[in-house]
This record gives sequence, C-alpha cells and structure tokens, in this order.
Amino acid sequence: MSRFLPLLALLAAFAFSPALAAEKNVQIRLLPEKTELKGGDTVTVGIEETIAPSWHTYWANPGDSGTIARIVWKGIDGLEAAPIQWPLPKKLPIGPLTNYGYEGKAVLLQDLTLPENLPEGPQTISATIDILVCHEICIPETHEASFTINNGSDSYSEAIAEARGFLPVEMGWATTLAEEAGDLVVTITTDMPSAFSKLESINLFPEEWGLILYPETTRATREGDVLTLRHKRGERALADIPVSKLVITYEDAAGTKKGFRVSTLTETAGAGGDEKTAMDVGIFKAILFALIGGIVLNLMPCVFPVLSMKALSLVQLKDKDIAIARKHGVAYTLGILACFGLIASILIALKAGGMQVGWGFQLQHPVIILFLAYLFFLLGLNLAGFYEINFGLSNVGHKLTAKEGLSGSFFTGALATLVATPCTAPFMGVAMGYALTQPAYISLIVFMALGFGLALPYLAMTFIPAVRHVLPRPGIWMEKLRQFLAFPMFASACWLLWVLSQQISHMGQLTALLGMLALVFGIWLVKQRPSQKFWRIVVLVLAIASFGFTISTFTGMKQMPSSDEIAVAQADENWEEFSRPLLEKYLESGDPIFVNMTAAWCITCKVNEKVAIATEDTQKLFADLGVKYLKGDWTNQNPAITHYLEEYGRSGVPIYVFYGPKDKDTGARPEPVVLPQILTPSIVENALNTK
Amino acid sequence: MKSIFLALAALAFIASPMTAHAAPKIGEAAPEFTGTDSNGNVHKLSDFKGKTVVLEWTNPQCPFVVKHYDSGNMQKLQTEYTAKDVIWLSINSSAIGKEGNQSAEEANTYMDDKKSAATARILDPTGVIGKAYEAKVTPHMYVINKEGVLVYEGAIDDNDSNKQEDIATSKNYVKAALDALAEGKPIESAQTKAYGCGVKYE
Repeated sequence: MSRFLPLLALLAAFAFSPALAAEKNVQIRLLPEKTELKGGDTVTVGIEETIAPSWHTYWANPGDSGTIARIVWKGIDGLEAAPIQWPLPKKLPIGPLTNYGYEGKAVLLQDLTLPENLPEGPQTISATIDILVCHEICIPETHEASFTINNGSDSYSEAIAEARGFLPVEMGWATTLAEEAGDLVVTITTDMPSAFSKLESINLFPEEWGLILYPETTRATREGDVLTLRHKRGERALADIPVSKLVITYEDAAGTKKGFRVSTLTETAGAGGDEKTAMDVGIFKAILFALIGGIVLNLMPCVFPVLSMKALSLVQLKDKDIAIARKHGVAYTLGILACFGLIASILIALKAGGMQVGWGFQLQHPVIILFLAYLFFLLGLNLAGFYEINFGLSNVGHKLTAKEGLSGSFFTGALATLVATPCTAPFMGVAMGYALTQPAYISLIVFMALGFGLALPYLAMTFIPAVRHVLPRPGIWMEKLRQFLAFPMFASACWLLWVLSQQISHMGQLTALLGMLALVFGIWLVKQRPSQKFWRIVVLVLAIASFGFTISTFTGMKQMPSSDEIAVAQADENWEEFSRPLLEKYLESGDPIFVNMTAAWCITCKVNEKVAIATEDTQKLFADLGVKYLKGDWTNQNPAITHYLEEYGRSGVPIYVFYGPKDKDTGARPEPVVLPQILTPSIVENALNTK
Repeated sequence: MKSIFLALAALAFIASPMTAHAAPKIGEAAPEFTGTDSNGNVHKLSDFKGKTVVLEWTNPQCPFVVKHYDSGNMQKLQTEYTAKDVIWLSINSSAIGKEGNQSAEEANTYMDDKKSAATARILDPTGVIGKAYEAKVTPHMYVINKEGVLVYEGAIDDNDSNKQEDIATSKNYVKAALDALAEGKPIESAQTKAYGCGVKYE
C-alpha cells in the first residue's frame, strides 16, 4: 500500500491544485538503483530532473552564468555521498552568452555509501536539492525528495543503467593543454581515432571555469591517433588550473551523441597509454598474419571449390605451356588484388567518412548477403553442370589458351575474393583490426598482403611445375569432382540464406527463395531453343520476366532495426545482451564477466559457441563462478560493438574477453584476458580459472 | 605569485590577436566608458581617476541579486566603502523588454526602497558598457584602482548559492580586494568565477 501513497498524493495534486504543479519548472524524482541494502553498501541514486519546455538547468560548469545543483543528503547518520556524476551537457546559447546544461530531462547520478551500523528495518533517505532553472529569467527552486530502503520499495536499475549511458566515458588518454594564437589547444592521443570522424560535431566542455570562451565553437582536427581541439581562450590563466578535467562530446557515424572525459593529469594519462600499446601489432607482424590468413582462406568451404577448379585446369597443361600458365597465375593474382584493393578502399573511405565499420561490414547489409547467396547458388548450378557459362571455372577439359582465358582468370580472382569475404579466417582478425586503425596506405598494404595470400597457392602452382605434378593425371574423375564441388557451393548458399533470415523478415526470406526459383527457371528457359519463332519469343519474355523478378527481390531487403528478435528467441540461454552501461555496471560490481561478440554470418563464432561456450560444462563453470555472460550481436550495424572491438584493436568478430573477478582484499580487477579466436572448452576453462 | 600572473597575462595578450574590443584584463587599463545614471548625470570612468571604482552589474529581479540586496549585504558594502571614498557604480544592462530593465524613475524608486548607497546607478539598456567589460552575470563585480587599472573581476563572494543564510559564511572577494588596495597589499584572488543570472542583453 505504501508505495501507492506517493502516487495518490501526486494524483491529488494534479486533480485539486493544478496551479501547484505549474509553479515549479523542474520536477525531481530520486531513483535508487537498489532498495534492499545492508550496512556498508553503496547504492547509486539517480536524481531525475524533468525540466519544463524551454527551461534549462546546469552542468558541472554552468558556462557564462547559472549555478550547479546542490544536493544535501540526510535521513541516516553517517551516510556518505560521492561527487555528482553529470550526464553529457549541451551548449545553450542565450543571447551573447552561452550556458552548459540540460533541457527536457537529465539524470544526475550520485553514489551513496551507507554506514556500517545501518539500523534494521525500513529507512528513509532524503535530499534537499537546490537547483537553478532558467530560460530568459532564472528561478532558484528548492526540492525535497526521498526514497525508502528495506521496505520492498521499487528500485530503478534500468533507469540507472540508461542514465549511465549518458555519462561521459572515462578515458585515460594522454591529454595536454597549450595556448596558441589566442586559442586553447587540447591535444589528445586516442586509441579509437576512427570514432572521431564527424569532426564538426566535436564540442569541448571544460569542467573548470575560464579556460575557454563558451560562445565560441570548438575546431577539431585529427591526424593519425592524435585529436587536436582548438577553442578561443577564456580569461583565466592556465597556471591557475593545475589539473583540468575535460568532457568532449561528439557524434558517431550514426549521429548518436557520445562523450568521454579526460584529465590533463599526466600520471593517469601515462598509465592508460602503456596499457594500450601492448595491444599494438607491428606492421610486419600484421602483414605476415594477413598473408597466412589469405592462404588459409583457400581452405574455406566457400573458396575451396573455386581454387580447385582453377587447379584442375592446370592438370592438362604440359610443361611447355608453362609460360601460358604463368600468365594465368598473374592474371588471377591481379584479379584478387584489384578486388581486395576495391573493398579495402571502400572500407577505408567509409571509415574516413565516419561509418563504424569493420572487416565483414560487407555482410551487414542484406542486399549483399542476398547477392552472395544467388552467386553461390549460380556457381553451384554451374559446377553441377546445369548450364555452361564460363565463370572461369568451366574450362575443365579445355586447354587454357593464352588468348581466351586471361580475362577469365582475372575475373576468377575477383570471384574468389567475393566468395572469400564471408569466411573470416582466424588469423585475419588481428591483422584487419590493426590495418583499420592505421593510416590509409598501411591499411591498404595489409589488405593487399591478405589478397596476395589468397592468390598464393594458385600462383605457386603456375610457377612451379613440380607442384602441378603432384596432381593426378586427367580423367573422368575431374568431371565427378567438379560436380561434387557444387555441394560446398550450395551449402554456402544455404548458410547465407540463414544469415539473411537473421536480418530480414520472414516475408523477405520467402522473397529470396522465390528469387532463387526464378533464377533457375530463367536459366532453364534460356537453355530451351524452340524452332518456332512464337515460342522463341515466349521463352525470351518469360526468361526476362524471371531474371527481372530475381533482380527485383533486392529491393525488398530491408534491414531490421535491431537484433531484438534474436535476443528474445534465445532469452532462455544464460546470457544478456551486451551494452556499454551494462558492462560498466558489472565492472563496478566484483563479479567476473565474459564478453562474446558474435554475428550470424561469422562461422568461426558459431562453431566456437557450439564447441566451447554453449556446452553444459562451460555453462556450469559460468554458473559456478558467477560469471556475467554478455553477448553482442554484430550481424547488423552496431556502433557500440564496433567501438568495443576497436578498444581491443580488432575490427571484426569474434572476440572473447574475460574480466576476472575483483580481488577481495584490494578491490582491484585483474587485466582483462582476450581469448584466442579459435576456442576449445579447455581454453575457456583455463582462462576462467586463472587468477 | 602576482608577478607570474601578470607576466602570463601579458604573454597571453601578446600571443592573442588584437580583437575589435580588447577584453578587459587584470593588470591593464580598464576600458573607458560613458554612461548616464538614473538622475540623468553623465559619468565617464576617466572622471574618477585618483579614486578606486567598483562596478556592480545588477538586475533587480535576478535571484542572486535579490540574495545580496534582501539580506542587505550589497548595501552594507556600498555604505562601508563609499564612506572610504570609493566610487560605487551599479550598472543595469537589462535590455528594454527584458527581465530587470528599469526606467530612470523605477531605478530611483528601487534605490530608495532598497536603501542603496551606490554612488550612482547607470542605465545601460543597449549593453554597450556590459559588453565592453564582458559582464556575463548579475552580480558581476569589477574593481578598478586609482590609476584606472582593472585589479579585480569576478564574483562577489565564494558561495554561488542563492540563499541569504550562506552569506555569513562566505568569503567576500570584493571586500578583500578593496581592503588589500587600501593597505597597499597584493590582491590574493584577482579573478574568480562570477556567478548568477546571465545579463539580459538584447
């Protein structure tokens, strides 16, 4: 009953004295994260300001005028309150002046620590909140608010988690201040430079007064991983401010407002910097990984058939044709490199343009998945002998000739690249992650190394006759092998359709399947060669209609906004959907945390989950150790996950990170452990059990 | 300490490009201005050379001004220092139609009502003086020494609450600056964060 009393009071206030409600321009609610507490506990409380339209309240530094909210807690003796955590501010121009503050709604957070000798039974904690609210004029308001613990009152963990999402993220990035030509120059060395692509959206909010002139705009530039902000200097001498805390807000590629907080205190900056360099990979290592990754790609089910067919065409070559073979090898390699160069350029350009993309980004759009599904299906049909069109694969039984085949080999190379994209080889994660955080030309070099690795086995065969001699003599087996190789292609198509099913609606799936049907029908029609002119026209029209339908299916591929459906479908499994606030929350608690970033199109991810994570033993281990299991789904674009991947120097999934439990004595958490990209149950077990 | 501060201020001045109206800086000549008070008298800053001048930006409806007037704090300061030959100018830069704007008559009524002891109340509805001094809030306080050099700029005291009861426990920066000037001592806090309502410029 007691929990309804405030509600009744509120209703009464609205019903009987509407004037009373209108008197205040801010409504305050206290939102405790937990209400069942014992002595010594710390609880986060949200101070929710609901601000009347066109009015505003103030941030930690109110700007040219205004004052910050003052909160005095009482109700329990020995209650300790930590400093207020302020959500990201907004720039509020008022005539020639500018304030930093909030409009609409803001939730300040404050940690309260209860005394060890907390009395038994329900306790009421109250706050006196003095807050200045202004639009043209300013009105100071005093609010009394309270909440009760240990009587079963509502807690607001979700609202608090949401509010944490609006706090600036603390970053230990090295930050220096300087003065130059009337500007304050802030130099920040960041480890996620690509996040700051919308440079014009960047705003500097110093917590100290007088550093900058608030109405002026922040001018940001970025070179490599150094972010430089320039802002007209304020009146206060730099020497007066030994340590400056700065909040920097920006928009990510999706236009979401984000922010981080740095300090010019040199000690913390140094420590943060060291930690990150350990994750750097040297450029030569990255190239080597990329090269090996490329070679391994050849063995992936999607690429292997392509390589095999190419290899078979070599069987018939005599040694005297070696010059021709070499030309084909080079053409194939060039095809791959051209295609890789193209994808890499698009990727780099998108990054530069501010998109949160990583390797595998090609697969985040259903149109591309559908295209690849059709492509694999067509290749499969071709290999199975349903129709004969030279994809560069069907020259089995024909001799390669210098004249006709070279462009074919070039396009086979391009095709190999296209079909290789879904298969992220394990070695590629680190190399790609490295590549994408580097300047464009290094990115390109690493991508080229990957492409070269992909081309290498075939190139070797064309250049070294001895390798060719390993292959058996030509014969009927080649035709059978070719037909057999259709099946990996169909399998790849099946898998892509399943990926598609994660991205689009059920109707979209049906459309995709009908598209395939129309594709086969169209091919069958084209194969018909009726003698009468009438039937030829009918066949032609129907074939065009069929192919037209297949092409039209691309327009129906609309991405679903989020992965909610998947989350709901698998809610019975013991994991929670990854979000930054949730991770931060668990990091604050002492529990161990396991983060798994996955995507429907990532085969490695699915295999790892099946083999090493979703097993009874591992799940039992999670339960025994009280591991919080967070899973992020990168099937569709998700900037929060891309951000996270970048923090660990990756640009693609999977990534598995284990955060060990806090030490009971020191309260410190051990360094997070990044698990390998190929998991076995014992790898997971070892990671979880190391202290 | 003060000399380091001055050196830095000078450096900052050299480093910064000349702007149309140079912002007032501690340790430099305060910007000259001409203003008309509520009795129609014209005042120029240079008229007061040889005397210490206090500029007080005000807005009768701003809660922070109300804090210092309803408590009698501001009037007490005015009375104490005008008696010591300090020139005290209250300046109202609220634009016509904005909160706190006063006609000459309203200003005089207000001064009588509040027992203001300011030397004069200058009406600056166009904001010319306010912008020359980059006055941002009410109350925003400036102290100019006998040589016409700006020696203090910022808040009235170190407690930015709007509660009268906090005044007793606050450190008054203006009082400290004026006392230091009178004793020929360096001003400890020459620049502070002014607090209050934004000046209601046009």
